[in-house]
Amino acid sequence: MHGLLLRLSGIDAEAEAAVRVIAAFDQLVAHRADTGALVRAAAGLAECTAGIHDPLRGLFLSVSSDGRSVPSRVIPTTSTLAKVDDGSGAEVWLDRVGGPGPLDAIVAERMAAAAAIILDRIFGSASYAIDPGALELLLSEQVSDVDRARCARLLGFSEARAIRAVAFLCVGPQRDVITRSLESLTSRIRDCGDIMQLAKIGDLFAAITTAEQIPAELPAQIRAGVGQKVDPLKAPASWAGARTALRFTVSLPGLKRPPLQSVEDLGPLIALANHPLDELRAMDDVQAITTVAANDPSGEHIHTLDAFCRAGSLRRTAAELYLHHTSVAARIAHISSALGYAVDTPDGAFRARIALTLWQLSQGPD
Amino acid sequence: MAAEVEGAARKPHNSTFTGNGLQYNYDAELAAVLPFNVKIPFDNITEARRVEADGMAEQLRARAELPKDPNVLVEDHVLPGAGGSADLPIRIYTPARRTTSLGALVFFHGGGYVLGTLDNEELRCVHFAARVNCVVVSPDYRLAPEHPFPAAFDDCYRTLCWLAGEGARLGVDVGRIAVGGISSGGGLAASVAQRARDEHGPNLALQLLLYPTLDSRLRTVSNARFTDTPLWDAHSNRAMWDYYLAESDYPASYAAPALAESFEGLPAAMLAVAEMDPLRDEALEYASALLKANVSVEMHLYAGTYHAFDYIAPFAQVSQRALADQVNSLTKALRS
Repeated sequence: MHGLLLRLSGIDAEAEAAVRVIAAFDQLVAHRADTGALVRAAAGLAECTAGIHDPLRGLFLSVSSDGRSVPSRVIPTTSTLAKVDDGSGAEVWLDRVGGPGPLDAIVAERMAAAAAIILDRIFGSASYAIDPGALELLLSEQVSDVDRARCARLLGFSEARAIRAVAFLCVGPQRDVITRSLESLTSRIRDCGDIMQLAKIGDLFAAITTAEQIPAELPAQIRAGVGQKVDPLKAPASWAGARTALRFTVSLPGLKRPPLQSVEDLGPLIALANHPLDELRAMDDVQAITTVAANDPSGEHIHTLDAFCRAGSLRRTAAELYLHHTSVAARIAHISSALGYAVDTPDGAFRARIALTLWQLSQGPD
Repeated sequence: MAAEVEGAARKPHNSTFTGNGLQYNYDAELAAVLPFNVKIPFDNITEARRVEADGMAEQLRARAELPKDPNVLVEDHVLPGAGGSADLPIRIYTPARRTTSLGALVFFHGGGYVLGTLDNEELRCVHFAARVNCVVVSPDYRLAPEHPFPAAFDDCYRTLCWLAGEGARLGVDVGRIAVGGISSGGGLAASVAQRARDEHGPNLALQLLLYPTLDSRLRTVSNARFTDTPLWDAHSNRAMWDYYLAESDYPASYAAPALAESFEGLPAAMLAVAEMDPLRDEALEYASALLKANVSVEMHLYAGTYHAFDYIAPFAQVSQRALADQVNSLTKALRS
């Protein structure tokens, strides 16, 4: 063979180097590189670590100069960064031992320009990324049907395929971990051929997806409400359903609820969520539960009450709680007197169960 | 070959870099390095060697910045001349932590029989020694046109015989030796394997032929088609045989292995073939000839590639795959 590669760092004239860098990234685009090829080529040519991060699409890739993936999931603080100019928040970087080289900025800039084209090509219309507000508009009731239809199309949804809205709430302090979990959930759903778009709206993460199922095994610290299946133009209704379902996932001391709830599985319980919060809190039975809970920081009594309402008998409750049934009877008697009605009758258990649910819902948000 | 000399690192770039690649469906990563490819003027040996030396000096500066592989010892030796033959420098790569006796590979660099040094394939040899856990020996064979055939061929065969004789001293199990090479080095490996068969020389476990030069007849479709491909094209192919071929008492196939009268009894072969390479079809034909002669063949044809792509763009995914295929074949062949 006869031929060798110029080292980028060995080219004296910056203008000449720039021309070659531009040509290299043009070649990648012309030859339909994927993101892996883009990052490996950048790392190989620049002889340093290169990477790409696209939070919305759940993509993180970092590669060393020999083309092998680097397991790290953080962008080194010493990196030369460039934003992918499609409004998606994606960025690319080079990270060189000993600090940035003189050409790293232009390499990163051209890499970002190529990334915009490649990401768009691979992920289809990356357009939700072009306007991060598109998802919010689609979910808003204040938008005309025409605008909503346009947003739906931009986001890759079509009228032929029903969608659901999902409301995610992160309850822990480790925001970035949670964001990554949601990104990986998104890519898992996309891997199955479904569309899922994710955006942060207020305290919630909102998703719209064509997936039939959201995996029930959510990462810890995430709760989710799943809205009803609707035509994309009815997304706001599904979003409202999702947020309502999310309220039923609230766990309280003694009251443990699954972190994922579908609005469709709630049945008529949904009607309980139609009351304003202050009205709920003002109800006598809710206040009575609040008082019991306030005197029961470990949640022992609430837990006993909840188990009894579900089990329907002292013996089954005792078995579930690993207690002797006389202990359960004593607790139920105590709770009955605190609530002001006998819990150990079918009507009393029903009343207490509704009161517990209203107490849960009264925690907000409405 | 382009008449004008492109390349010399200091020469300003003009907008047409060699083989801009759009006419071929190259793998994207392999296409990306083309703007940095320096075409070596193969028709002007002095200039070609100067350009290559400049480029290699730059590569060596790059390598010096990288940590050395602590798992491989690299040593230069000289096989002293005897009986009219000149001193032959060789480089030996040995796994640092060795437990038992090892298999060995004699590996020949490329460069169209006129270019190339031991430095060209050092990274690949280190990789083989570490990953295959074998000894690698590479000779700095004499180059044409000053030393046409059979100089390089003799040097390569001599290296093999030296290893077969002295290998035990290096901790090599001389029953487990492979030959291999890239480009013209692949051609040398194939003819060395033929001579070992003909002269009842060392038994070979494998011939590892990477994008080899095998056939001086230049009559294949790929040779006619690929007149402007990077790293190797039909023009350089013709020039190479003009530089290399010379009269000798050896069979013609020791210069161009495809010309062998018989392929029977040759060692098992692993052939790596690039798609957009004038040498492609002669490799396919060689594989076919070996198979017809009951020689076991593993062959990989990498789509979207050009000649010696894993040499010039080792970071590319397809190059990593090719290198892994080479390691796998060697590992299997040199297993005790």
